[in-house]
Amino acid sequence: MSKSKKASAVRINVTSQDSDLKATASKLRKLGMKVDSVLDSIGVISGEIAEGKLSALQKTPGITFERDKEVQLPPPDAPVQ
Amino acid sequence: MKKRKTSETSADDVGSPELPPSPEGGDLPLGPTGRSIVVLRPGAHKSTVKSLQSTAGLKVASTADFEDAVVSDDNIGGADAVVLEHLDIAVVDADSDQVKSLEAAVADVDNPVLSIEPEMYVIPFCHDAGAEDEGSTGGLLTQGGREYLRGYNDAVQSLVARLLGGAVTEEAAVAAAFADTAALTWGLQATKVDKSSCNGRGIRVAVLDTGFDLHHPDFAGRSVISASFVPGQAVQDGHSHGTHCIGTACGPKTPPGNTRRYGVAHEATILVGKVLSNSGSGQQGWILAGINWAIQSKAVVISMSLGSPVPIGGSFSPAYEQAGLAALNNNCLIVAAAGNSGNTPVGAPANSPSIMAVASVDPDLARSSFSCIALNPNGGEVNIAAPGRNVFSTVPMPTRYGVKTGTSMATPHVAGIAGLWAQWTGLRGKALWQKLTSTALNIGQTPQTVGAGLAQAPRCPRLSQGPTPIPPGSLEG
Repeated sequence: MSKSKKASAVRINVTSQDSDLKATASKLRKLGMKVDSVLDSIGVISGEIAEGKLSALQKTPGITFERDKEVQLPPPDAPVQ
Repeated sequence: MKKRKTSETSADDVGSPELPPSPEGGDLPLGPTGRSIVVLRPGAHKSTVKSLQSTAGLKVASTADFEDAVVSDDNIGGADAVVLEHLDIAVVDADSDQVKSLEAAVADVDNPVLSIEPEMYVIPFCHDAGAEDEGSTGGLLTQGGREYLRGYNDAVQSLVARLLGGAVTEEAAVAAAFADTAALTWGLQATKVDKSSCNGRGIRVAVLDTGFDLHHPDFAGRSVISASFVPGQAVQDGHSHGTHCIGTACGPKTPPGNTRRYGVAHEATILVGKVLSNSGSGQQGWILAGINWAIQSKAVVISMSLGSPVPIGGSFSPAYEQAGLAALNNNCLIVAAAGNSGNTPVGAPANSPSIMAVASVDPDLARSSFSCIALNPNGGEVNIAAPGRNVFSTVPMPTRYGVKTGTSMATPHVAGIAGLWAQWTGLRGKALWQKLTSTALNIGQTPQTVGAGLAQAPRCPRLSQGPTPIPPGSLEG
């Protein structure tokens, strides 16, 4: 998406143990994360953050984050899908 | 035994993983050991020893030469192959050329070598797939322990059957003939969907994939709810993968014209979550958003024919696991494709403990050679299997129908069957998971490759008298 604009930005998915996901989302925004979606049924917040700010995120209690992993299907006519 | 070598065993072993780290330090060794298991013609002990020597140039030791048939790495004197004479099996430490010679010998009817396959480290699976009936073991065994013993039992049975030249089970023998007919795909026959009176009415089945051909004539008049999580792309399927999966899970009972039936839950409400783009790619964030939506939309089953490879020793994603647990807590079961990389670990998200991993079987009910296997603990198990080879289903118009192969095609079979069980029993979440695995057909293969076995549809004999009440909130209006 905006990869070219922010070369150092990484997509992440944050898993929160806090039931107040909105509060977690605002905490994450303060830490510099651009929040794209707050998925309240599964306790996950997705978005983008500068690579350099990941270490601060690591120190935040009550959350786990992981880098977004892209899924790629084979082409429609591939022998195995 | 001398140093292990990586062996190229067959063309099907796509991406065989590297040799695992040594077991020192407490880590369980996983994956192929580097050796091969050779099954020999029963009773041909002497000619076997000769044949292994002459065919592949191997130095051979036999248990017949040891007292009490106790063989260990210490007393075999640097042999390349140990023949376990009472089992008619040899464990062979062969290099790739020697393996090729042995593979060639399999085709030679005069040669006592019947088959060759990679030897795998066997590990006990610790994941608690649910509190099964503790029955005769008096609760002494964990679920993982029971699965391990069952796998051991299956392997021995399979071995005995092969050596005797007979079928593993009567049902597996009957099943060897599955093929599409004018009325039914082979997959619906193998899973007994054609014998089921259930139809999935009142059940919401979500398929998170490349979308759906919303104008497909086979689905005219069906109840469809859809959403796209791919920025800038509509739900309409520009790939074909999603339309194929939805066809299998929810296709009609009587397709228009003379087309054979290919769909399982033919009256289920279809939730289409587009989480993969028209070029087949998707961010994990989109997939998670799709799961969140499906749970909020009261899906009873979520089918995910997608994933990425996981290395040996790799763990599950915390986000997928939290999503899987949230689904189960909300009366929803997620099933996901085990992956198509052959003798490599189950991929993500299928490797999450709370997500059911689906393997693929061929029309002869053997595990498909591309179907990933259980090599990692804590969710890396295969849970169930379903038809995934040469699956006929819908693709976007104007092509209309197509045949595809993969664990992606096995997964929506299980999703549809889960929908039938949910309708028939009223079970949801973890209880639905247990119903699916406890009713799966033993197809004589190890849980490492096919989990509990082949998914089976409920017969629902009393459906016309009214099924078990369905929990409030799950009924369609």
